[in-house]
Amino acid sequence: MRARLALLTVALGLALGAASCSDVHSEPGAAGFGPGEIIADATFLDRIRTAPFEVSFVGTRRVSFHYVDPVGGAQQLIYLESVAADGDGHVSIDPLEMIDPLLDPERVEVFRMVQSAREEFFFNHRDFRIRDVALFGANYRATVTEPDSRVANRGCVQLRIEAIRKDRNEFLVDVDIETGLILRAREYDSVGRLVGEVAFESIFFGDVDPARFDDPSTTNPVNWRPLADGETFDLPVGAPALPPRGFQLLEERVVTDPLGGEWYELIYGDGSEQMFVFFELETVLGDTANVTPDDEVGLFGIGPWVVAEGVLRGQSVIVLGKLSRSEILTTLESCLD
Amino acid sequence: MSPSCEDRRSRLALALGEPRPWEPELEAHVAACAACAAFVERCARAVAALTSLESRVAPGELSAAVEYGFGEAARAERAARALEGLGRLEVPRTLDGKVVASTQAGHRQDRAVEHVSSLSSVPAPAELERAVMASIDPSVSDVPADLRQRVELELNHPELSVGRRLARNLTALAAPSELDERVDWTLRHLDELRPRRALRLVTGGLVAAAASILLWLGTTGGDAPAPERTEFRFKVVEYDSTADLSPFAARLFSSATGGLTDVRRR
Repeated sequence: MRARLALLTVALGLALGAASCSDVHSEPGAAGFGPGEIIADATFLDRIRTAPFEVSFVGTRRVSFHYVDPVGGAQQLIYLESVAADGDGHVSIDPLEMIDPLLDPERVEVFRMVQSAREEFFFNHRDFRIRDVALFGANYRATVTEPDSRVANRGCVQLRIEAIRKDRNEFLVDVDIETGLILRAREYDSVGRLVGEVAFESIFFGDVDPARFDDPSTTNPVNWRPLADGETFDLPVGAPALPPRGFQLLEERVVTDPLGGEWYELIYGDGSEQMFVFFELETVLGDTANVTPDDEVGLFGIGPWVVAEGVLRGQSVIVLGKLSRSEILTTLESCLD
Repeated sequence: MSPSCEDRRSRLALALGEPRPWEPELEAHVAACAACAAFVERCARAVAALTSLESRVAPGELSAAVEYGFGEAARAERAARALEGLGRLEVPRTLDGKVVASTQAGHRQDRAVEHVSSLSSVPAPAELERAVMASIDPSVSDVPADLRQRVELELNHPELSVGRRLARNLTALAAPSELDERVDWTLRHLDELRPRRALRLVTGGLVAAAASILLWLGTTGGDAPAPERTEFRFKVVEYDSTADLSPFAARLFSSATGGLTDVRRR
């Protein structure tokens, strides 16, 4: 023990000495944070959390995903999109130009229509976000990497977002100093490969024409409603008793899929990432008295995303998240407890 | 999905159009397999949703238009419009001289054939297919001027058009303003920096050693991830595409991946 303490003291002394010899620029940037500083300012983090819903802007973004598909190999999607928000909860995301893969014109048009129909999901769930400051502080660390970065000709502070438990992907985000809006978010996997980037190429702040925003019922993969007071469901399986570490239940609602099926949805979060659990509300089997099916779950994943779908005790269930297969399956199994 | 379920899914989808009970083997499987029972339920809902849609009567002139479109006259019209839309190619300049020379000397016909045969062939432009496709649409009566211009640019200056396309997709980067200051400062203090560099090398090595020690100390404890489980109270099947998921799950997954699975290469 004494030997370990002695080594630790020597190591710290050397590290401090090296820092004093360095002539790296260490002055705070325009946001008041210096390089290497860990962000503990809850007000600043909360400003990042609320900015997408309170700032009115129009801009062009470059979106790129680089995922590894276990069957198809490396997959890539790169395109430009136009995005707008009115600071009052209305958003608009429209694909502009397809860069990769090169599709024939008919497929490009279909892709554009499908992407436009998902704009609310993209705005709320696809991109990096601080969703809960307290949970974020418990599960992540935000360190200043560049106090004065620039994105889309705007002054930003660049942060490295790392999970404290080291089993999640890392992010580099550039936050607009004036508004708190994230202008660029880059996601890296455990070996440092870039797996996703959403970056503004241009952005303008100010009022947005209301005609730009579509009817929300057409811009979501599902239509949803909050639970009524006291509303519960009698299901053969329960809510997960063992969600992944760091995750808490944040929201419950009822969603209707495009074919009219109703699902009880639970949204878990760890302050940034989310896990979605769906239980189908309609009875799957008319008469379960004489049925003894085997519980079975199908699993599929691309890049950091994994989805599991199956039937447990006659109940259809879906779990989706940026989690390991083991975490997804453990979550599912805890529904049987 | 088990192989037995995969075999039966297409038969189940076809059987939906028939009144129940279906053949005994199918009925027994649906009663015993929850996944296939759920599949039948989903298909039945999809059929009900589609059949509940109001059917529309096709406009009267549609049949006549379709019949005409398959006829010889319409095919000839489409071909003529496609040819009109092609960019003009310049005739090789040597052709005129070769024709005159061959008409003024003996064996005019042979020489003319020989000279013409030696001319290089020009491949059909890539825009031809698009122009033909556009000509099928009756509402397209003329090729837009900018298309003609683009075809000419593509043919005459292919390197320009490729260069423009590539350059357009590049993100323009601006050098940070403090770079000039840093370069100036470094040049002014070169002599001072040389001894400092030596010191930094030595210090850097020691810091690396210290970091290794800290890492060794750190890995003996800390909040390491839990070991992965491999055994569960249900059967786990690995899918190799979103086609094995229900439409709802596939759509959710596609949204989560930003639409990547919609354009995924197999």
